Amino acid sequence: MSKITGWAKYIPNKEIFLLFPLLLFLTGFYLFPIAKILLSSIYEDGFTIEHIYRIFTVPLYFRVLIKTIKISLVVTAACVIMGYPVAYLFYDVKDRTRDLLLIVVLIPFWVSILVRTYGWMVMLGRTGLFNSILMSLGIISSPMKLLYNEPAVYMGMIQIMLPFMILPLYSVMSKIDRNLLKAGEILGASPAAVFRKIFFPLSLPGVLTGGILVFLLSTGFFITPSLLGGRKEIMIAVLIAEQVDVLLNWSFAAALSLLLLTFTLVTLGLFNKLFGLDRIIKQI
Amino acid sequence: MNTKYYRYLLYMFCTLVFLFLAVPIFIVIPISFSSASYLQFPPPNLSLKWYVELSKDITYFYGIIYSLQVAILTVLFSILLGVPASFALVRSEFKGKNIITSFIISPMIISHIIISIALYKMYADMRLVGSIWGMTLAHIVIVTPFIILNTSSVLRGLDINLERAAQILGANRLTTFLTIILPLIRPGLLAGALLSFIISFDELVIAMFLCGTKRTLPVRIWEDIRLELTPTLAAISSILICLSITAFFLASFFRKKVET
Repeated sequence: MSKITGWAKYIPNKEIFLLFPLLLFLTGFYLFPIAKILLSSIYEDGFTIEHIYRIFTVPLYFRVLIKTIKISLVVTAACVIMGYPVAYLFYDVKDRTRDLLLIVVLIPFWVSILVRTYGWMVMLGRTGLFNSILMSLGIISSPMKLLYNEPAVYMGMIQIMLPFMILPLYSVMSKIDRNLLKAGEILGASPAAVFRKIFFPLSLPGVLTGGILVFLLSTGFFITPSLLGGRKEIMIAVLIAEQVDVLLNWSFAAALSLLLLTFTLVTLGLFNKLFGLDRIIKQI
Repeated sequence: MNTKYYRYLLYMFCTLVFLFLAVPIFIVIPISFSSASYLQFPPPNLSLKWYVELSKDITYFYGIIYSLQVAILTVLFSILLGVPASFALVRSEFKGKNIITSFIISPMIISHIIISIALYKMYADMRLVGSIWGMTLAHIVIVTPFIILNTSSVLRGLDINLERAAQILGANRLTTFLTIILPLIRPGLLAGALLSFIISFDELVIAMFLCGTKRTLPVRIWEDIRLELTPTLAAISSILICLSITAFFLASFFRKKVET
């Protein structure tokens, strides 16, 4: 090893300096602007909670909050129900088959959310796929209104969020030792009992990680709810955009952002306390 | 007997989920070759008229060029910032490392709408709205976490003795990085760069606020999508889908190289 000279010997690892350009950049173009705008929601010529107060007292805005949480919870639940069997299938099948099937889950990750949302508009539109099939089968005589309502938002969001559920879930499942399952079987447990008492508890961290990821991404979602939803399905991100874009009401948009960000951080913090998020971060 | 029945049920259920994932994406491709002048199922006849229509629309062309420029600059600068940072995160231990790491990757979780309006406000004062640099800087924020995730996972797999050997043989740190580490992490880095390129190229929410009068491709699509669902949209969507899938397979090819 070369001799360590000068002031460098007081510093255990010099690599840490390589972080500085990125940290400097993120402070200037990420931390600072966000902090500044969030502050503006509670401080204008003095401390004020007027804007925060408005969110909770004006029924129209409060409904948006409730709707956002409701839609996010439904999407998360649906992703668990739809994603769990798929992740289990990946665990169960041969490696080659799994690699092929994984493509179906990974490709949506790479396709623009805007394009995928447009795909749903094509499926659900007045002259879209569903209406055409239903009409040609004679089930309905005139096209149904399938777009711009809550089910449409669910469809679009679940399809976009599903990979975020399946991938963490599968990554946890793939580490489950198959010998444990065999041991259970040898000791006389039925396949159902092996699943319920061994496999499922071991896969729970994956459900939690995927669930929290889907839930948090859903609460801040903009594109899909604003294209597939109607006036009744406004979510908080859509409301923030509207306040800035149409009404130029910066302080109120900032208050909503503060609420959304606090909600995200508190949920993450709580999750970390309860289940340890550090494990995930340490892998980076 | 019973387990077999459950297995078929599992296969059936998963097939439905796979269809649910794939159909809304691939449905736009047949539509883009339709001869109908509005959305219609099934397409009455095949034609290329929507692709012709698309090629005549100069605003789409400008959008593509602008998005390409932004995406390329974004990827280059994210690599310059992200690769050294992942190196620091993998190779050094320090107090508060978890917090720093969480902060760096937080743009992946935090709603883009918050980042958008925060930068929009700041840029308004700095006269950066509508400038390519303003847009690029914003995209670097959201793309760098992906570069870091990709690079660190490869870096962690590297044998540190290779670097030690190079340094014992007299190479300085920079030479070691350029001649030993960089060639070893290149496939992983390329995979990360491809994903970052696609993310920047497809990004809508931030671009919508920061683009000013100079529209990126997603902003241009957004304008159309809200007004009328013409098959031109299907044509440009099909092109984007093909681009994404190509990038995906290229990236998987690079990742395989890392593994072997």
